Amino acid sequence: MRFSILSLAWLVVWSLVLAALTGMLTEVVPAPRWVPDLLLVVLVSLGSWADRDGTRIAALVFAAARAGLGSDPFVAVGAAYLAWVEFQTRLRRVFDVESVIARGLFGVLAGWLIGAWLVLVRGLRAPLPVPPELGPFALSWPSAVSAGVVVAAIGGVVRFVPGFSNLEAKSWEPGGRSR
Amino acid sequence: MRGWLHPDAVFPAVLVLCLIGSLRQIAVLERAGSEIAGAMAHLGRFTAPLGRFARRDFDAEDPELHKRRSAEEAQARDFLVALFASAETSRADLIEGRRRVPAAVLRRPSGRTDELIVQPWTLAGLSVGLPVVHRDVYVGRVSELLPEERALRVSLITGRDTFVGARVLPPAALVERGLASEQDAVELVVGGVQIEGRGPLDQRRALLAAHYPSRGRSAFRDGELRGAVTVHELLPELDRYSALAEGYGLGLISRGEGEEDWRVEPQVDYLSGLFHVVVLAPAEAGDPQPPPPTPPLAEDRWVPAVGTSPGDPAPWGHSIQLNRGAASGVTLGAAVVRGVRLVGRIAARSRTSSEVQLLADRGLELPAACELHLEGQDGTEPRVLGRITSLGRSPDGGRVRFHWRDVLPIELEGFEPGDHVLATVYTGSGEAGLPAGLLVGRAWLPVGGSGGRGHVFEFEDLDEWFAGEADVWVRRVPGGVR
Repeated sequence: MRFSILSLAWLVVWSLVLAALTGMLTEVVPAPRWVPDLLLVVLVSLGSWADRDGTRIAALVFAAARAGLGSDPFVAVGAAYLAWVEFQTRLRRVFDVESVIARGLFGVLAGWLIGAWLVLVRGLRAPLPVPPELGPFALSWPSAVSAGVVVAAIGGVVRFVPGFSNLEAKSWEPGGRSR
Repeated sequence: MRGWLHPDAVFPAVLVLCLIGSLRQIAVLERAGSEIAGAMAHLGRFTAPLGRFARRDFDAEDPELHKRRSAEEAQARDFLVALFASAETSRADLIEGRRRVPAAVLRRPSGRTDELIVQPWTLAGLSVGLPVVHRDVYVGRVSELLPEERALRVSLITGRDTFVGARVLPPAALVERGLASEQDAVELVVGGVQIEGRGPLDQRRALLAAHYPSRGRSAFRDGELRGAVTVHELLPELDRYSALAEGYGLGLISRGEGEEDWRVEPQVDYLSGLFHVVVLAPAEAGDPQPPPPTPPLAEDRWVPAVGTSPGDPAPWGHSIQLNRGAASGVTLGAAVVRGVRLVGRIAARSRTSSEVQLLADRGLELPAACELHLEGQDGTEPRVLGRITSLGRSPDGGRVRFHWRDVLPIELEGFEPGDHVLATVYTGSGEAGLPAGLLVGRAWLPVGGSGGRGHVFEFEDLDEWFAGEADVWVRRVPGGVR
């Protein structure tokens, strides 16, 4: 991967647009719990085909954008996104993770785990005086399902989008560095 | 890349740091995260137009809206005046010979729950040692003058080094029947806190500790000491201001588990129920009563801000980024208002931007007071609620719910526990950046105690007030705001 300032600028712009779109949807949609995290959708898509280091950088930029436009702390989002990238890019050595079904399942799993993690961190930092009706996993599954559907439907398109297409992993080929 | 700079070393190290920083707030990581997020928030301003799709805007010329806002502004102003007045006593014997200077609680010094920083209407004639009261209740004494801040430090009676002489007079019924007289009064010293109960903090009860009670003659005859504890110094010559506090209440005496374990059930919530107090000074200090301070909405400490993000990407979060940050004087916890209504508080800030935690965001806390609306009455005396915490919207996406830790529950004649009463809720004081008397909304509050669990209530009208623009309370520095 040749990672240039231009690549980074593309990532920053896309991450902010996706974070803002997600934020807008949570305000507009009558059931905000069903709004997928569009940054995560793209990250799961990148995780199935893009260069590993590029995906790691994307994870941190995405985390910064989400923290910048939202209320989750950067460290919590950064930990979640980076951990997911490490997990998925290791798993892709063993399984085919590029199929529509695999992408969808990964989207659901990522949405569920990362959502629950962020709710958990929020609860640890600002404990509520009474236990919430819904625990972290119960709270995060609707957006996880949406994320799974969206990543299955349009995840394949991401590799053709300017700014992401240059993250293609040449190292996918046998003997490549990421393998 | 080799060694430590190899991506396979750097990224896992960043991951571990982020994990640790998520579970345990470490100042340097928090600051770094905040700067990174702040920079992105700044860059992300180009996405602000998306907010137009997300928020309903108001027609500023709408006469109905204008009328409602004017009415609410007047209502909030009246409430603030009434809130100051509610700290005053109505008992003539507690007023006579004393000059009373009202003061608003500004904040608690960091980490010190037994102290208050209060801003009196004037500093003239005030000095260290003067008693501080709330209604008929003694709460502490002035421990330091802070002229630069035009404020006073008050040591509360809950502090481990603050004591006051007190006595328990026999119940009037016994005196009337000739079974006891004033000579039977029990003298004691009150100061410090005794915690009753175990478990989570909200299930414990803080009582004032009573020390060295003199056993009055047969402790009011039946062996069980009962009655109100009032300030009474046995040796007034040792404290020149002690006479000013004479007769002010401390609470009701009660016995703990042990034979000599006496304590006082307080009449005010020292932790979160003191918004306004009165400093008692000798009448001969002679300065005329100063006028009340300017209402917060009329102060020149509000700066206009614009929302720079369309919404919170977290489906369970409710926050907005604003285009004002530390460079504009924005502080953490500062109030953000739209019109006359509080819409949220600043939860994070960078130099040029800040994050507003909206009222619907789970975990938002604020001190609150309210005015009850009872049938046949045109408003009631302000009532301190203490701290309320947002529980977010109900799971079906409905109204915003708050938890109220009812240290001082609402008890009303003609109402049963479990009944609800309509109230207008305002901010209380005691927290930096959040002035008292800002309108929060209307809610049906439960009557009666919750038994330590706290009550949950819903606001009726919090939905429509953030529309992309707001005003932020900023800190004051010599020579103006910023």
